[in-house]
Amino acid sequence: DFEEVNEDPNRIAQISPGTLINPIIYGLASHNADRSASITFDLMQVSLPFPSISGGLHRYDVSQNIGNSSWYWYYRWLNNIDEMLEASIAAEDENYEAIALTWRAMVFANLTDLFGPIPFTEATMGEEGNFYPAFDSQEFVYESILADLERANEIYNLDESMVYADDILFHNDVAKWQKFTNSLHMRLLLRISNRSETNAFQKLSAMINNPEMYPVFENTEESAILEVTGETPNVSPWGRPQDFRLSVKIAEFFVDNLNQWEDPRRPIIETMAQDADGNSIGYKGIPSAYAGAESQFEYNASTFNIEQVTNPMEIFILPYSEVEFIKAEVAQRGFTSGAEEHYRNGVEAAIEQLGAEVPAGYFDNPDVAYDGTLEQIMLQKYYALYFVDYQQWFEYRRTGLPELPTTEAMENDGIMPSRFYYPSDVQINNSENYQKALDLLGGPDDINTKVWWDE
Amino acid sequence: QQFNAKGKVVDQAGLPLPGATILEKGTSNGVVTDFNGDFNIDVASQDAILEISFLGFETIEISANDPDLSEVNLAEDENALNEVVVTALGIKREEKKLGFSQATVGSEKLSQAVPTNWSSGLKGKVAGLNIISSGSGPLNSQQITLRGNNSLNPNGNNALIVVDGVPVSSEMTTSGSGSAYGGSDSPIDYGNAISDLNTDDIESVTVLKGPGATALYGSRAANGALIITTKSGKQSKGLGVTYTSSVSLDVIQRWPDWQYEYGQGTGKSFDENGDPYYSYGSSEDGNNTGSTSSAWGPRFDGQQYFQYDPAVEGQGAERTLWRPYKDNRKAFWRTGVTSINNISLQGGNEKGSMRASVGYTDNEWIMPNTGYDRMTASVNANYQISDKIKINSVINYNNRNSDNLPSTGYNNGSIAYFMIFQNPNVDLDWYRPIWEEGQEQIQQIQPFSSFIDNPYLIAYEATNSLASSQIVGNLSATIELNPNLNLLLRTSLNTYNQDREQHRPYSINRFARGYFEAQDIWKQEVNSDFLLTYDKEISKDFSLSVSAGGNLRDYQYRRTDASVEGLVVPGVYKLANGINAPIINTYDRNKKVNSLYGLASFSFKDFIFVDITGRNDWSSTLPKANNSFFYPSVNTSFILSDMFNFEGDFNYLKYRFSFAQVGNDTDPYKTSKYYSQNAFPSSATVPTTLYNPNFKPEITTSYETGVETRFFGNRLKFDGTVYQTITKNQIISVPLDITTGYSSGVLNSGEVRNRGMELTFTGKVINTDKLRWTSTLTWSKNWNEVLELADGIDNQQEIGSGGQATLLAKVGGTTTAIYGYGFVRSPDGRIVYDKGGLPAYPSEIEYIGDASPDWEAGFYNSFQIGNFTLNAMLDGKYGGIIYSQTHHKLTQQGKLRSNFMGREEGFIIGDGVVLNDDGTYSENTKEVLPPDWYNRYYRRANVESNSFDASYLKLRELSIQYNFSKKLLKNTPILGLNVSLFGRNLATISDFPIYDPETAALNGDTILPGVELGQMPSPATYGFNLKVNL
Repeated sequence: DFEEVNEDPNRIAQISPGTLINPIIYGLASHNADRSASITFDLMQVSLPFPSISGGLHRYDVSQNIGNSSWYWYYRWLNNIDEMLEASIAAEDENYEAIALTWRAMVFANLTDLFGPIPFTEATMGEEGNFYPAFDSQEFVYESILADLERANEIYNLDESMVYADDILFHNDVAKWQKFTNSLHMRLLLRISNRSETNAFQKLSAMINNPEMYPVFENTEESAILEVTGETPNVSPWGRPQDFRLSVKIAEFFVDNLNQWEDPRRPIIETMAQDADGNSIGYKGIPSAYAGAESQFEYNASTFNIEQVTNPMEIFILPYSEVEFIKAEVAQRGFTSGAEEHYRNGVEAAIEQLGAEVPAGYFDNPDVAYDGTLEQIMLQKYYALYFVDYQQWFEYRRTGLPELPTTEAMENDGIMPSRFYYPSDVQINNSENYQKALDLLGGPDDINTKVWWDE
Repeated sequence: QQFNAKGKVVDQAGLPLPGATILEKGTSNGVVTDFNGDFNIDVASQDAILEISFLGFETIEISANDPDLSEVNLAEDENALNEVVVTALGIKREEKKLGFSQATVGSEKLSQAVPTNWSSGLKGKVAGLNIISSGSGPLNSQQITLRGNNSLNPNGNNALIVVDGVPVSSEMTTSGSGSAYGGSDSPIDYGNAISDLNTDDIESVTVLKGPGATALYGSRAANGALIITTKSGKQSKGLGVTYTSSVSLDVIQRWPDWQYEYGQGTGKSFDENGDPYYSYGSSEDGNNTGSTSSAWGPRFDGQQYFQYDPAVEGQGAERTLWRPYKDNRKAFWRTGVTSINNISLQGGNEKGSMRASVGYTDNEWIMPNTGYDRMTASVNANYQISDKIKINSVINYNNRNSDNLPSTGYNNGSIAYFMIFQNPNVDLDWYRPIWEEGQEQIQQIQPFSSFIDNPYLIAYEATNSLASSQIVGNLSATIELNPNLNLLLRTSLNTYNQDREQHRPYSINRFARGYFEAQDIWKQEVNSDFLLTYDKEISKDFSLSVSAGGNLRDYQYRRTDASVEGLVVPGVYKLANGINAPIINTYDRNKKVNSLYGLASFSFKDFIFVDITGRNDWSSTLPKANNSFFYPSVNTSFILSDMFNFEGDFNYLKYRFSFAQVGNDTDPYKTSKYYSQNAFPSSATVPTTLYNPNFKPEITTSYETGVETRFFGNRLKFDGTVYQTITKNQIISVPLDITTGYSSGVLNSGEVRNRGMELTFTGKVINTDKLRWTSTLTWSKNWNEVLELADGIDNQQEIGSGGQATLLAKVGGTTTAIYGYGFVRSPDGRIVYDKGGLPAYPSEIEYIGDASPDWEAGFYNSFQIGNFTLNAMLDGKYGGIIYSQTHHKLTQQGKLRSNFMGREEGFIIGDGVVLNDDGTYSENTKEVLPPDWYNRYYRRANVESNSFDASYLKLRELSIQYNFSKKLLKNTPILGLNVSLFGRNLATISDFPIYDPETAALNGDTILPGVELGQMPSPATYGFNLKVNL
């Protein structure tokens, strides 16, 4: 009876297509929120550690292991997504299959945007005995995941309900899942649009012009925004919310624009600064990558409002506002029309998604009124992508926008990093394929080698 | 003509010695004494000389017609050559026949300093025995290892503990949650279950150090074994009652050298004049400086500031004197009190004997509202029910309860954390009311920072309770099938039950709305054995003993954890009071191992001995194809002194050699795929460890050789051993690149070698009637080397990490090598500073040192002067390092007296060089603020600057006993009366700047050596003991 004795009484050996869905959603969303706060905010001048006399990510002082965490979590969840995909196919449940394909595309896209070439075809095959997966080029990764998204959109079956556990993102609303798939499809097409051979803009306009076939998010309520209820285990990734702002101040760039616009998002995002006597002096940040001693700032600068990460809270995965800004850019570039309308929708949605109200006359401000430039679209999009994993940074790498101030104290010649180092574990545990990956990357494994779409 | 001699053999206390041998000298004519010590022998003539001998006693010769024959007194031979020791499977063997090294610690030596945990009484007394504990509270789990770490798994090195033939693992029973560094909740140390065995019931502990000694115990004894024999009944002169009672006090003696010269502040807030100031909350003096955890604030110079006022629970209306509260950490602790009372009864006759005991221990630990009480009861009985059958049974029962055990580690809810974060200008009394006025059970008094939980809230509200009971017992029968053939049948049980609760009140840092967890644990292990033994003297010179046995082991473990985060009604700890439905996790395990084994012992002329053993195990935890494994051992011993008839001062020389292999299985459920439990309803996740349907058993191969010699009429003894142990095919989790989908896989990989030597010197330095001085010195050294890691990852493997110190195994390195960041250094070895005037960050971690000591030693001395006996035990370790997270944090916060550099000047120019753009180095000249310099120089990740030499020397035990003489007691019913004063851990010599260099991190359920994370003080103990025999 040894085999019976060695059968685990605690854990299950079989899963349904829905068994993994909530852990995947929560695991990825909470990781992304965490990375957003600890990496994107610093790189993109949303906030900075303070005091910070030298070094630091905000000065483009990028550590060797900065990408380790996402490398780890993304592949870990990809393994779950792949099992979900297998279980859906086995159960012939096409909605779950489409959902799995969508998450898979999203995670692989973030991975390749972070690092460039990555294990893709041979990834997550440890169970089959492949301990040394080969890398694929970014071009190949994008080609494959875009095809998957196309297929996912096709196989959704709105008449078939999702019968397994209530999903925490869209609560088994198949129509919303389909919109998520297509909204993501648009994000990824735009990402590679500098590569004209991909005809990304043409494909985007085809999608925009055929909403029947490619339904996308139409309002903030439909967005991929995870409601963190505070009911265990759906709780804030910040076990101690005060850690969120421990030794952190809002960056001057981020707050100054909002001040310029008298923006209603300020009280939601940040606290007011105080002068030396403890009197409020409004919203005031610290310049990222500042030079000199911290004593030059004779005020207690604004920091984050911890309500943002205190239960219940929201984690932004792909908001409706982003879809509008994508449409605005496609129009601004002349492939479709209605740039201004999409811009306004995007700005309004970005304010709404944080729970603020668009004040009357907001668009009367000459800085906010649409001026037809991509710069303006991307500046507002930057605020729409606040707290959306790495998206602000990816979009900056694609467009160089918004224009971020540089300082003397910046390292790397004041040049924004273009990617992260591969984790050093990869060199140890998969060294042969790592060497081949460098050929695919076409440059050294450092932060200044540009990825394929970054032209 | 024949002469009939009758007599009686007794020991010095007058108790009969059954089984003593009476031999007519020069013949083979002999008899043995019966149960009453009586004998009756026919000898050739009345002039015949009788040799009367008994194991462990000095042999005497006496004439067959001597009148003293009616009561022959045998004296105990303290250097008995033929000492009987308990070996594997409880087989008693003469020491000289053993081909491996062992050490036995008797009850006297074990309990001299009345340890609350029997294993503490072994410290320093056995060469090669290493006990590490984390210093984590009254129960203080101990990890007992022998001869270094064989496994790459830090939990895989524990010695097996066998109590009267019942194998019990020395597993710890921590809460299993949370890492020692800032985990979701702090680990709680519930002690090793086996530490509850009553020290007073232990007759002896035999330490079998290597696989050679333990091959018959099979897989679990690959790391050696401790064989505990509990006391059994004896016929006694009086009532057979023994009562012992002790009271001891625990006093903390070693503290970090906290500074009380400067108060709270970041060191970066200055008034208009550029001078540091203090203000609790904003005031006319300036911005709030009262929420920092650091003590870089102004010096205590008689000035006045706006400070916290407990009366208003906020800023005081007036400025008050800026002063230190020098007792604001020490006053939190109290003197611990432990009382132990034991009573035992024993008696017997020729048919059998029985001993029963009851003990009660009450402990109030040094931290307020912590401690435990323990009740133990044991019965040891044997009876000859017929000529052929003897039955024997031992039952040890214990029951331990605690209302509160401390949370450990570096985490908000641990008291160690508070001791770090407390500021010099904060009165401990301000925290005492616990709750803000009108906010009972809702909001704790937490005036300075939300990171610092109120220490009284931690002690009185955030409690961790335990109710446990345990049974270790067996029942056996010995059946004499014929004069040469014996059959032993035995079944044994080890079971425990633990109910634990963890309460977390509202407003505690980790759980704003409180938390409640209930854990219910049940473990049972049943072993059923048979052992058939055949003894035969084949010729005068050659004898043979063959045994064959079998064992069925059935292990079951059930654990259910249920928790609710967020309580509806504050302060009510029930699962039904959760805001959400309880989260329930189960951790059930089952395992079976079946074994067959055999032992053949040969002896030639009583000076050459050879043992051969073989064992085959079948384990449920291994893949079906590989679940059967066989391993042999050979032990030999040569009594060279008998072979070559040594004479003069060189009395005895024994050479021994052993070779042994031991196979090992693993934990259950590693051979097939399962999904991990997840807290979302009807959910699961793919585990991060890849299962393996194909692995093989681990194999440990060991060689050991040594000598034992005696000189000068046995007054000086020396025992030396060298050994080598290689463990390969280790079944461990090997790191994989996560792109495989798994961060680790269960693989057979890794080969670790331990080589070492163990020396023991024992001498009767002075041996006169007035003064006896005996001395024992033990010394041991172990060399550990990782020979091989898994294919493809031949580079390095993480053993564990705590804080920022990582134990990394590299090929050619050790299993306890500590890696972490150090300083960047110039070619001439100076610290390189960055342009900001602070030590530069290195890009890679480096080897900092090893957690294992170079060598360990123990020095035991006993002086007997008349009725007084003085015992002193010193022990120490030399070499090795320890990384201290507490040191990092205290230094970063400016809280040690060693942090005064630059404070008056207001700046530090770090001693080091700066790398210029042209590649040359120049002297660092940049001034930086002291807090910035300390923060960088001693940053948490700097394992180099926060590590210390772990060497120490401790006065481990000291006791003075007075034995009342029989004359004084003559007209009383008291047969023996003994009083003693004792002390434990009385003095320490060490460079370690925190409490105790003997520490390790309790990380989840692993003790990680060489890393200190949130240590608690460890007390010295002073006590009084009374022992009465009736």
